[in-house]
Amino acid sequence: MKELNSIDEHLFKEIVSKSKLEMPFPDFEDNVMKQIEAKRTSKSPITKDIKLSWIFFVIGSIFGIAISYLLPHMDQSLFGIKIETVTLIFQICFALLLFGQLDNLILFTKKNLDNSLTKPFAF
Amino acid sequence: MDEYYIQRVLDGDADSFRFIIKAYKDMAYSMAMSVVKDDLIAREVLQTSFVQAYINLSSFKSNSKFSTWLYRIVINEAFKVKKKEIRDFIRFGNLSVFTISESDDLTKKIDEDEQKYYINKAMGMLSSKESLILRLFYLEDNSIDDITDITGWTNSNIKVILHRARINMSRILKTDFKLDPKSLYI
Repeated sequence: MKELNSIDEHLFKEIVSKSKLEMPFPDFEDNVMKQIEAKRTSKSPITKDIKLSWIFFVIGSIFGIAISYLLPHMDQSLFGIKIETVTLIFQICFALLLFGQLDNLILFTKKNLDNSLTKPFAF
Repeated sequence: MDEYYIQRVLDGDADSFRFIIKAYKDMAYSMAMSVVKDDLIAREVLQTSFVQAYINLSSFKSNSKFSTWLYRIVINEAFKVKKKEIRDFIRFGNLSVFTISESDDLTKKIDEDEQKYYINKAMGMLSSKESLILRLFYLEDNSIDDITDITGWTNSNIKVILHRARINMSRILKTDFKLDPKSLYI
């Protein structure tokens, strides 16, 4: 084993320096630039959609919270149903929608704007 | 120079990314080849990696080395593709392709192209991790800490792989190719 490891460090550096490979595909740069251009054109609408989704989600959430807060302060009943019952039903529906849609929105955003490229690869 | 082109790309000049590709494609290709051992697959890996690098360029923090960031993307992509690949890689124990006949006089001084050929064949016979670490350490002059940043592997793990890679490389050159490593040193 000692003999196998006998190549000194300097010699090893010389040997490995000859292992640098050159890209054998002359059209490589053009292909990558074409793909980038295609991504650029297809990426902008989806980014815009994601932004809009988040804006409307936040607006909807603010309205939902405002209604949840204001409903119990109403004095009269709604369509003959007691206001406490209406508030409870609204709050349950709102919570279900809020968390369900939040989950979907996060997954959708992650899928399209994947920034996890530089995380170490797990073996 | 990297910062200049990166800033230009971030400012909307996509064509400046071509300079970045030109500067890093050979080393990135060497790394991808270390892992996937196939030139066509390596090209696919690099295409995906460079496109991903372009898309995520805004997340690159300029206080770190761009090459470290880029090589990490390439290596992650290469291992991801390798994991998916079903094809058999030529490894130890399956050396029929590289068997050299006894009549070949390989003890004589061989020329530069032949040296490169045999060294790269030997690199191809090392495991993905071993050839990758050898190239990162000796070709790019990265320190163990730099390699930790690039690969995400631990310091001690890298030292073990490097040690094993040196032994295996020597063994392949001596026993499989019947080459005296000193004959490769001109």
